[in-house]
Amino acid sequence: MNPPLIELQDLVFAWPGQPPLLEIPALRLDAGEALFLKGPSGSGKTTLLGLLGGVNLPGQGRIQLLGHDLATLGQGARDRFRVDHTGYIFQQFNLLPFLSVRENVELPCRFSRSRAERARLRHGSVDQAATELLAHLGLNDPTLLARRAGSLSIGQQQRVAAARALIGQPELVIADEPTSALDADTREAFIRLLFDECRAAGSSLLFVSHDQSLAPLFDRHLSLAELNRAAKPREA
Amino acid sequence: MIRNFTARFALLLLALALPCWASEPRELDWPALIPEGAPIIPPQLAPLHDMAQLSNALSAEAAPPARQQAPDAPVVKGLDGQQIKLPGYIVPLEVSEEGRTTEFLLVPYYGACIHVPPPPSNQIVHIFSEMGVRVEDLYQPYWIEGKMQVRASSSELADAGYQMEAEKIYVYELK
Amino acid sequence: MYLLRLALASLANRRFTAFLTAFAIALSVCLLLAVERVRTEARASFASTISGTDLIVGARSGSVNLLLYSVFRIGNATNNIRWDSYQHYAKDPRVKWAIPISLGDSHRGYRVMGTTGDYFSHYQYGRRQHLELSQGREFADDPFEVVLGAEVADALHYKLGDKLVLAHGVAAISLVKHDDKPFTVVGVLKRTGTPVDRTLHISLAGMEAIHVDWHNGVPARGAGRISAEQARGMDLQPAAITAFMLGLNNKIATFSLQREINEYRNEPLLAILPGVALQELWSLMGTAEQALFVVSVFVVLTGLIGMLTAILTSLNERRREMAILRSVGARPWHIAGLLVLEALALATAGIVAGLGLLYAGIALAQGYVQANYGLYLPLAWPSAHEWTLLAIILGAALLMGSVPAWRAYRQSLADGLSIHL
Repeated sequence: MNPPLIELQDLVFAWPGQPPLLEIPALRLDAGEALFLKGPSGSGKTTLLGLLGGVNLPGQGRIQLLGHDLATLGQGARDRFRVDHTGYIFQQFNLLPFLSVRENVELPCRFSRSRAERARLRHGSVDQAATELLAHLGLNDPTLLARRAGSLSIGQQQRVAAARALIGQPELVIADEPTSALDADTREAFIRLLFDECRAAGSSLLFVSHDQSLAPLFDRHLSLAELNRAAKPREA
Repeated sequence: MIRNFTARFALLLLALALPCWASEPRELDWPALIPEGAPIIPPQLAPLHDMAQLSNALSAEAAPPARQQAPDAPVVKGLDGQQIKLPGYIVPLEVSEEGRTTEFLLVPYYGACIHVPPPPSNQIVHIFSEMGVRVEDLYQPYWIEGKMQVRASSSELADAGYQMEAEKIYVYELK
Repeated sequence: MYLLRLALASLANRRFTAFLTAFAIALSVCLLLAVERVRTEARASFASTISGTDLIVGARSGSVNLLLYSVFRIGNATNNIRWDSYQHYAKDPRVKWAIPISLGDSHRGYRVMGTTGDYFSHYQYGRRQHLELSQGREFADDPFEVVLGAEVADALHYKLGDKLVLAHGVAAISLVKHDDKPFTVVGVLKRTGTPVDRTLHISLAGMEAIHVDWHNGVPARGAGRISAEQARGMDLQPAAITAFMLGLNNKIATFSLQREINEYRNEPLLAILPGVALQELWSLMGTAEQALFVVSVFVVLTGLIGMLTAILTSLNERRREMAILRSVGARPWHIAGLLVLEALALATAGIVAGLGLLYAGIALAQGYVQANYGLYLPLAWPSAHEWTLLAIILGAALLMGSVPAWRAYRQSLADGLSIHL
């Protein structure tokens, strides 16, 4: 039985000088799973994603990614671990505007040798990997690939971000509100594409959003407000 | 085995020491440039404190200048060809474009007041230096090392004097 | 290095600010190097003006003053010296050669010097180089012959056979001319790179001839006037000259002869060793040179601080950029390295542009500076000293770059992956 991708146990986190923001007894994500996590802004989801990325360390409890306890790794090691095994998609402004589309997609391979290796193994070269991923996501035009990333539409940018997150087949893809800036029509199409690619790469997907309507598309859905014991009840 | 080693080591030391020993320049001071028995005119470096001597000093000034030094002071011929080192002040004669002094006179003192005659010809060395030295300050003394050449006088034309091709020039520092 | 590529791409994104910053650095580097170059060249040109002369003798004034007017044609003598004083020492057995010179007239801003043929035989400059004629010959018996320095002939377009009129005094625009006694150009000297190029040389007889009817400092009128023809027939032995140069048989006799001349009973004379007087001139100029250098250094510092400010202000806008890089795996020291590389790139661009500006400036101004100041600015590669200065500037830029690098390092740690919108 494969170890779970993410396993949280008795996590407690508080910013210095403040009451605990997160108190999560358990959270688990298995390999190949697509999990929808409902978390409106201010609910501590950004902090949770930061913890999962190894940016911060919990005050109490354990975070394990691929069986590795993040707390045992040093700052630099956590950074490396993150890029080796995780891809990120944010709500907007994902791309470096002064680099071309292709270069943006290839960024993780510049910083992670293992992802570059995996991309080469699967597609022949990092260049090929970028081209094929973008093609799968509907961006075929070679002139587009050479254009500066800042000149693309929001929808196109999000798809480029997805390609970047997926290059080199990281085990985990974390998407933080990736569709909130898209209009309703493109939203579903984007999610479909994302699912397809994650499945093809064998990556798990952790999708965080406040938009409840998307939840049914996923294998599992959870609410951060319910998970988090430290969350204050909001409903009047 | 041990005996061989000691012998070889001693030989090595000797071989290293010999060249240093042979070429160590002889350190001279300025009186050494004046032959034995020649009258030494001590330079009057101290200012005149005793006003009673003032009339003497004034009358010395009033005397005709030709009397004040020998046109052709005697030289020490034995110094010719010797490897010596001498400290002194540099009076530049030729300065290259890059600011290096390539020909100069070396004197025992510099900037003395007018009451004192200039150094006699056996207290001046005419020095050539191919590499030259950058003289920033005329009041800085230097060590000059090289082979001394002595030219004896041929006539009254004051051809005599000390000459040298400088091999090493470095700053004189008080220890 | 990929970081360098990122740094350059990021700079290209902000190219207007980057350009301004680099330009400021370029200007300051150009200023610093120009000041240093002019200083070095001025020294070299002064040092190479006279060679092989053991003593210069003039009326008693200051040693730097005597050096300046007799060799560099800068300033004026306070008094003349008598011909018989010159004769006394020219005949001295210790003296190998003697050159008398007479100053005080000019031609369209260039100085006129009266001298003898000994000047052309014995005067040396640079590394024991003698004067050579590029055209014609030295002046001979006729008193109204003139030999031009190279610059005079070039700038005023004179050739052999041309006639010119000398003026009294040394101002560029003269009001009183010796126009009744024109001179003929009989020779032009080769370029020396010294004040000789900017001098007109006439014989002492010629100098006497143009002043033969000048009494009381004004030209005579009417019957008092003496024509050029009449002057030719007169005895043109000068009674006084401005200064003379001596070469000795034995350099060791220099000091004693100098002292004798200084104490000469018949006339107040001053004898100087050109090397020593030059050294005194350096020490006078030294303070001004240092002050100029310090000012230029401060200007460079200002340019670098401008760069520091520009990078620091851009940090805030680039937090998103940093977060994206962090999310794709850049470590905090990658981020710091990016900023240091940026500073280095800007400084390097500024230095290269500064050098370019310097060379362009020299190419443009070379002719003008040479003609008006006698200073030759060569288009040479930077000297070892200049390379050192540039290396120090780069080092300073590196230090400056580490300030925003440190800030960015801390910020990227604190921000983590959150992209502030």
